[in-house]
Amino acid sequence: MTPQPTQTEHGFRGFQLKRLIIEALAVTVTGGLFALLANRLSPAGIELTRDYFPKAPPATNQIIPPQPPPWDSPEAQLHAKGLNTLPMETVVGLFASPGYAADKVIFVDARNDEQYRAGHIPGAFAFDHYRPETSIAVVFPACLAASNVVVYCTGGDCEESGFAALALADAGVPRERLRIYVGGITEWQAAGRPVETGDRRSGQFLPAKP
Amino acid sequence: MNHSTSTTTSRRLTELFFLAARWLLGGLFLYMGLSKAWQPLEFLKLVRQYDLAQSALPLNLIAACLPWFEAFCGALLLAGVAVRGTALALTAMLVPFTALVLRRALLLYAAGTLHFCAIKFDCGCGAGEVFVCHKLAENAGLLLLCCLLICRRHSSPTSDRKTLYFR
Repeated sequence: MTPQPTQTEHGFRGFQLKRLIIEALAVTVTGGLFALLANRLSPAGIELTRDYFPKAPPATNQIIPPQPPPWDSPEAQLHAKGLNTLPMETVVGLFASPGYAADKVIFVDARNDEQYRAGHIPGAFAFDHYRPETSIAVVFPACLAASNVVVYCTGGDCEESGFAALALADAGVPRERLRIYVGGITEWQAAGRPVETGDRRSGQFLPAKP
Repeated sequence: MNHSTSTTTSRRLTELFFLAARWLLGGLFLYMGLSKAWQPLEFLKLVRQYDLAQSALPLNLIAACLPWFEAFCGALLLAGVAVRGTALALTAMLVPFTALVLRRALLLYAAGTLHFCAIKFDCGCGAGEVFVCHKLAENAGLLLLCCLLICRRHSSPTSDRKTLYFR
């Protein structure tokens, strides 16, 4: 027959449980403070008050269209944010136009630096909207000088191009100049279009696909 | 005499098991935490997909703190400091997180035609895209290890009787 725990043992059990909870709380508080400090000191740390996923600012005297459900097409999502999209044929046309050579048509790659260096549309500017401080000084004047700014990311349902376009619009680039190439680098590359690697105008290209 | 030797061996084996469990759990959390802390923005994008918060601050706080907190807990477990408290804190973190993974998987399951275990997504766990059944099984294993560490009996002979009920 199993002996029943005595009153002292019950009391001890309660004490141990209390101690365990206090220890867990101490770990949580200390860990939380450590995490805040580490994030603050880390060069890759997150700015706590910044909105990394901006929504379209409401324009004055304009009825805001209802937000489409998240499973709607990327085009519909971007149109709801007040952004225009471009199909591949138009993008290819802009790439071949004289405006491209004169920097009146520019491309903005909204992916991160690593992805940009692995391959981008030739001459595209790198603009990671999560880290705007690294490139805004170069991209912003180029956007102001251009008449067409084509922003792209990986393609499909990637959201970076939309966020980057909104960030540029927020910085002062006229919204009507901004266009999103929804197919992105994936479609561009799949169509056998030229892809530049490394820095902008590096002159290095990925070998063309057969 | 023989009984005493077998008791000692059994106790040593138990100690070894708990040591291995602690190191496994600690190493795993340290690795997963640091891999996320290295690229917090990527983690932030993944956290956003769970629709945990509508405003920026709580979302940023989760993405900024969770990886470092995991790494901190992992380091404590490896060092053997506040083991039971750390295991309890990790359990309190793992349970809601596992529920969120399950909720997201069920939403994907309801929206598509895939078999439940064929559903695969990046849950923000630090290991890239994973099959949901594998992830749920892994989390169940981690929870079990945490519970074992929380309930473990102290090895000190004087404290054995006192901590009997925490086995």
